[in-house]
Amino acid sequence: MNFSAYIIPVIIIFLMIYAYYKKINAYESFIKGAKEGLKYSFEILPYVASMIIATSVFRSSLFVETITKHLNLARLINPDILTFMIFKPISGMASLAVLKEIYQNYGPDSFLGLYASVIQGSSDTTLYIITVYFGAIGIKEIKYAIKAGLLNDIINFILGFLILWLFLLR
Amino acid sequence: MVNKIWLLLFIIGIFFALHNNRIVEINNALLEAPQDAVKLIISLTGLYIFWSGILQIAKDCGLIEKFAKKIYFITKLIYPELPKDHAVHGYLASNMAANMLGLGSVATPLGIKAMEEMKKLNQNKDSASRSMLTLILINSSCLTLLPTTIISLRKVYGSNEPTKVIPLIIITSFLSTLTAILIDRLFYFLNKKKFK
Repeated sequence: MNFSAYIIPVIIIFLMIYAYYKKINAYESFIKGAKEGLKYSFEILPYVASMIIATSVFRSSLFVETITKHLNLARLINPDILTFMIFKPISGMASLAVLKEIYQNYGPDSFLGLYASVIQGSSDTTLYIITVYFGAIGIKEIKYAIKAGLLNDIINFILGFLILWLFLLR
Repeated sequence: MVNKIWLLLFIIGIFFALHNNRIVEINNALLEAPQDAVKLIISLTGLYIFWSGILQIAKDCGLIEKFAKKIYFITKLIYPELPKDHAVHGYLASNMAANMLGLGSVATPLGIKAMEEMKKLNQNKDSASRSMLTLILINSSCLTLLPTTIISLRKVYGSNEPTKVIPLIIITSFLSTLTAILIDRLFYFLNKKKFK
């Protein structure tokens, strides 16, 4: 059975019964919250748009692919996985596209396929989170957010590799 | 820093497009990307409206507060700066829970809610507070228990064992959340002066 398909319906029915029992005006509450939700997506649109436009220009130039192929890193690291790692913190759309290419070219059960799956599942698009979260509440001075976020992404790539390697050794 | 990255993406992008003879692709990207952004936001708007509404119900029944109290021993450790019994703990706890269940679109409005409360606590300044940076780092390392999207994607691409990666993702994301907390502490102590 697909367990995860039950999570959301179960949460919602539990919540609705609880709201009924607590005698709160759930409908009014929903509308109040929904208005805030609308406000958020309106507020973050310029931030999301600016990043998507910049990353898609960057992506369509094939800069990363050119660099990863010409640097002759092939012996050290596969150019496709390197491309994936470079895009991962910058653009969710681009990294998803590269992930699909990796699945197609090497198969999802190959070492590269497994490694890309682990990275995709265990980290998020750092730059997107930074721009959206700070953008939504109007923070201008973001201090060390990007440096710390990117450092943790690199650590995540290394951890993922070590854990997959240990797992396959068994 | 966002400014520099943003400018570099354009400069490098257009320069290399000329070099790689991909000027048509650049024009297409400039034409399509703004529309992609609006499409993405429209699809997210529905989710944000729905989940923010559901969360408001949970908040008004007192469920979020109850959950926050149960999990306070964890949020206290991660966010030592925040005052006890403040509404922000409820959003932080629920943001964490949504991330673990792989519900990214639920986690975002909750995270923004938490950021709003933190901004109030920071006298509405337009510079980031310590706890905001912690929240950002924790969210970008995303502790996951149920990586639903990746499993279905693996299935689509013909994996024999789509769920094989679940334990690996759980362990990796758990460890990288721990390192995120350590990095957060490290950067905070190195930049303590900036928070005055």
